[in-house]
Amino acid sequence: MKAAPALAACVAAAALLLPLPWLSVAPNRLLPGEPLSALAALGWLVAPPCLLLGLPALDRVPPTVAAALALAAALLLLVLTGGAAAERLQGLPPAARAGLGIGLWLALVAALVLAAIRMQPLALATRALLVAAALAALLAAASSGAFDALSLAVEYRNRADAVQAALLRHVALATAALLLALLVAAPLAWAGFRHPRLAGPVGAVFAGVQVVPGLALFALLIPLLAALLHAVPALRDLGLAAIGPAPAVIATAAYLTLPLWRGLSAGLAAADPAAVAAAHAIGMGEARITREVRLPLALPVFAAGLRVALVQAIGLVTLGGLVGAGGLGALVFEGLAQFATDLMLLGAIPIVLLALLADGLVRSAETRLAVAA
Amino acid sequence: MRGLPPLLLAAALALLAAPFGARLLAQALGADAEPFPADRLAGLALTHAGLALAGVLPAALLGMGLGIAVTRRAGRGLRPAADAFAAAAQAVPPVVVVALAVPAFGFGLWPTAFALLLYGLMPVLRATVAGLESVPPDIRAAAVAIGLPPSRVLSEVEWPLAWPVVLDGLRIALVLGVATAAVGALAGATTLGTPIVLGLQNQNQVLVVQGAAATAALAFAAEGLLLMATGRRAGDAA
Amino acid sequence: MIAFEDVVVRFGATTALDGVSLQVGAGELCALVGPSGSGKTTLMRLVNRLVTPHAGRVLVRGEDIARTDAPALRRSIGYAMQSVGLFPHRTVAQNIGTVPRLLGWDRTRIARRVTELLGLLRLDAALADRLPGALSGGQAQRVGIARALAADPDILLMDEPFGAVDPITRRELRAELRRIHAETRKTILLVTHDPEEALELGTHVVVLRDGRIVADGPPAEIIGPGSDAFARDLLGGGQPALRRLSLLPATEALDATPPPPGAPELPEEASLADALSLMAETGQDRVALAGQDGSVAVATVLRPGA
Repeated sequence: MKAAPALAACVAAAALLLPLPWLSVAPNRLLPGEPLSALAALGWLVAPPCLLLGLPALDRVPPTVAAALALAAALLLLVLTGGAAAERLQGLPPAARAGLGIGLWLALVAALVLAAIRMQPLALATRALLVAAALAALLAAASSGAFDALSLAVEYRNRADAVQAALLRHVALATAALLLALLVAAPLAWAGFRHPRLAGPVGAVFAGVQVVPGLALFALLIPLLAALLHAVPALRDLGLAAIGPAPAVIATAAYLTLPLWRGLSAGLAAADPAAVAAAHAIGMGEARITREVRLPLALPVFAAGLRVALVQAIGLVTLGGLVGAGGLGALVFEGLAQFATDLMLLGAIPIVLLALLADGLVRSAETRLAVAA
Repeated sequence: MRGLPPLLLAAALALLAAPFGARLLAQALGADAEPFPADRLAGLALTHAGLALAGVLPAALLGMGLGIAVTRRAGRGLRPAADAFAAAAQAVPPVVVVALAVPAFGFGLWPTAFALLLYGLMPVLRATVAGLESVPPDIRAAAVAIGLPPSRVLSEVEWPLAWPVVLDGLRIALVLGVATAAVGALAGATTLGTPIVLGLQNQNQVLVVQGAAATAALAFAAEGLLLMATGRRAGDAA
Repeated sequence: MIAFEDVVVRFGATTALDGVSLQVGAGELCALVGPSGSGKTTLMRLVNRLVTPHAGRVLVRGEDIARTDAPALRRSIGYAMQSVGLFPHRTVAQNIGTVPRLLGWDRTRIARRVTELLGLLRLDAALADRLPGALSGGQAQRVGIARALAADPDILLMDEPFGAVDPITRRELRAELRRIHAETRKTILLVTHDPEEALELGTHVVVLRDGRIVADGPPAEIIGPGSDAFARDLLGGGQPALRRLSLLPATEALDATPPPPGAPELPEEASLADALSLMAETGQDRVALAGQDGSVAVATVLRPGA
C-alpha cells in the first residue's frame, strides 16, 4: 500500500465514521439545520462505500479498477445521501431543506483525489473514458431523481436558468480577459525577444501587477474607469461603462499578462541556438526560421503559459460579481449576502470544476504538442 | 535594492489611501463622499497585517516541514498527494476558497483563517520542495560521503542552498495572504477589504479608493520587505 | 588496511560485484581499473558504506564495518570525487574545514590545518576566502582533495578525481598525487578508467571486468607475460611489453661492462623504455647510466631480470 492513496482512503473513512456533520435538516433554505453524522444519517449503509474506498488504496488492485471503484464510491455516497435526505424530509413542510455537511464534502473530495492518484499511470484515453462514464452515471442518477431531496438540487431547480446564464457569462468574461491579455502580452513578448533589454522592465511591471490584491484592483478600476469616461465621454458611446464587464475583464486581463508573457517569451527562447544557427547557415530567412524552427519548439511552452492563464482567468473573473459583471461570482456573492449556503455553492462548485476541466484539457493538448515537437 | 520600488509604491499608495489624498482624488472624480477617518483605516491596516501574518506564518512553518518531509526517503510516498494538493490549490483563487469555507465554518474570522492557512501552506510547500530538489545531487553525495549525518546534510548543505527559493515562496505566501485577508471581508472578517465592500455596496467611491489603495500598499510593503531580505541573503553569499 | 571478503553487491536485477576478495595493504596506492560497468566504483564505495554488500564482509583497519556508525566511518576516511562536490555556499577554507569541524576541532587548529593543506596542494593562500564558483577546474579539484585530506585520514578514496579536467592539469595533478602519496604514505584507493593513470600512479593495480577481479598485483607484474589476457589488453593498449618497459627502472638491465667511450648517458631515474628510446635515437646498442659504473645493453633491455 502506498502512502498517498492510503492517506486519501483514511480521510474518506474518517469523514464517514467520525461524528462530523454529514446531513442537516433545516426548516428553510436560510436557517441552519440540525446536523447528523454519516452513521446517524445512513446507518449501516456506510459500510458499502467504506469498502469501495478501501480497495483502491491497495497496490494489488489494478489502477483502472481502483479508479473506477473510487469514482463509484463517490457516486454511491451521493445517491445514498440523497435517499437518506428524502426519508428525513418526509412529513416536513415543503420549505424544509436537507443540506450537505462538511463530512460529505470531505469524503467526496478524498474519493476523487484517490481516483485521481490511481489514474495517474493510465493512458489519457482510459482516463477520459472513466471520467465520462462517471459523469454519465451522475447525470443518470440526477435525472432519475436520486438527488431531488438534497438542498443543493432544490436550489438548482429554482435557479437553473440563472445558473446556466451565469456559467455562460463566466466563460465569456474569462475568454474576453484572456484575449485582451494576449493582445497586450504577445507583442511585448516579441519585442522582448528581439530587443532583450526590454524584457527586464516589462517583466517587472507584469510581476508588480501580481502583487496587487485582486479585490483592490477590481474595486480600484471602477473609479479609474469613471474618471476616464468623465474625461473622454466619447468612450461611453462605445459601450464602455465603469460598472459591469469592463472593469472585470480589464482587471482579470491584468493578472493574465504575466503567465502569458512568460510562456510566450520562454517559448520563443526554447529553440536551440545551434538549430537556429544551422537554419541560418543553410540559407533560411528570418521569417522561415520562425515558422519552421522556432514555432514548433515554442508551442508546448506557449501552451503551458496559456494553461496557467486560463485557469487563473476562470478563478479571477469570480471577483467580477462584485463590480456588476455577473458570472458565477455574482451567485457566490448573492449567496454570501443572503447567508444562503446552497446558492453560494451553486456558484463556487462550477468555478472549481471549470478550472480543473480547463487545466486538464490544456494539459492533454500540451502533452500532444510536446510529443509532436 | 530590488525591494526599493515596491516600498516606494507602497508609500505612494498609502498617501492615496489617507483621507486628504482620497479627498483630492474624489474631487477629481466629481464625487463628494466623506472619506474614512485615518485612525480607523490605520487600525484596519494593523488588523489586516496581523491577520495575514498570524495566518501565513504558522502555515509557512508547516509548509517547510512538509516540504522537508516529502523530500526525505521515508516521506517520498506522500509526494504525489502533496503535488496534487498544491496544483489543485493553485487552480482555486482565494475568493472561492473563502466562499467554500463559509458553509463549513460560518461567517466571521474562520473562513478567512482557513483560506490563509491554505495559501500560506501551498506556495511554501512548493518552494521548499523545488528548492531542495534544485540542490545538485553530487553536492549532496559529497556531503554524505565525507561523513555528514543526515540531519547535518540537511541543515548545513541542502537548506542553505534551498533557502533563496524557499524565501521566494514565503514572499508569494505573504502577498497572497494580504490578498486573502482582503477577500475575507466578504465572509465577515474586519480587514482593509471592509471599506472596499462597504464602498461597493453604497456606491461610495472614496471608500473604495481608500480601501483598495491601502490594501495594495500593504501588499507592496510585504513584497518589498521580503525582497530586501532576499537581496541581503544573496549579498551575503557573494 | 582494507580487506574485501567474498563480497556480492546487487542493484535490483543486476549484479555489480560477484564474489570479490581483495587485500589492500597500508601505504599502498591501489588503482581500480576496468571498463564502465565493471564494478570498480561500487567496490570503492563499499569501503565507507556508501554501498552495502548483500553477502560477504568488508574490513577496514581489521574491523568489520557493518558494525560501525556510517557517518563516523566516513569522517575517518577521505573522499574525493570527479564532480568534486564542493559546497557552493561555503568558502574554500570552510569547505576544507568541514570534517575537522564535525570532529570538534577548535578554530585555530582548523585554520592551521587549512593553511597547511593549501600549501600541500600548492594552492594560493589568497584562495581561502573565495567561493568555489570562482575557482578553475584544476583548483576546485585540488580543493576537493584538500577537503578529503583535512582530518588527516589514514585512508583516502578517490573516484576518478582527475576525470573532468584538461589533459595538462591532469598531468600536474597526477604528479601532485604521487608526491602527496610519497610524503604522507596514506593508503589510497583510486578508481580510474584510464589505464595509463592506473599504471603510472598505482603501486598495486586491480583490473575488474563484469563485477569480478581478473588481475591484481604490482603494475609491472600485471602487464607482464604471465598475466590475464584481458588485463594485458586493457592496460597495454596493444603493446603491453613496451608499457612494461616503461614501468621498470633502467638499473634492471645494468651489467658490469663499462660504457664504450662517447656512449650517450641516461639520467639516473630512467626506465628501460627510456633506454630503448635513447638507443633507437642514437643508433648505439649500449648506453651509460648516470651515477653507475656499468652500462645498459640492448640485449639485456629486451630480457630484463633474466
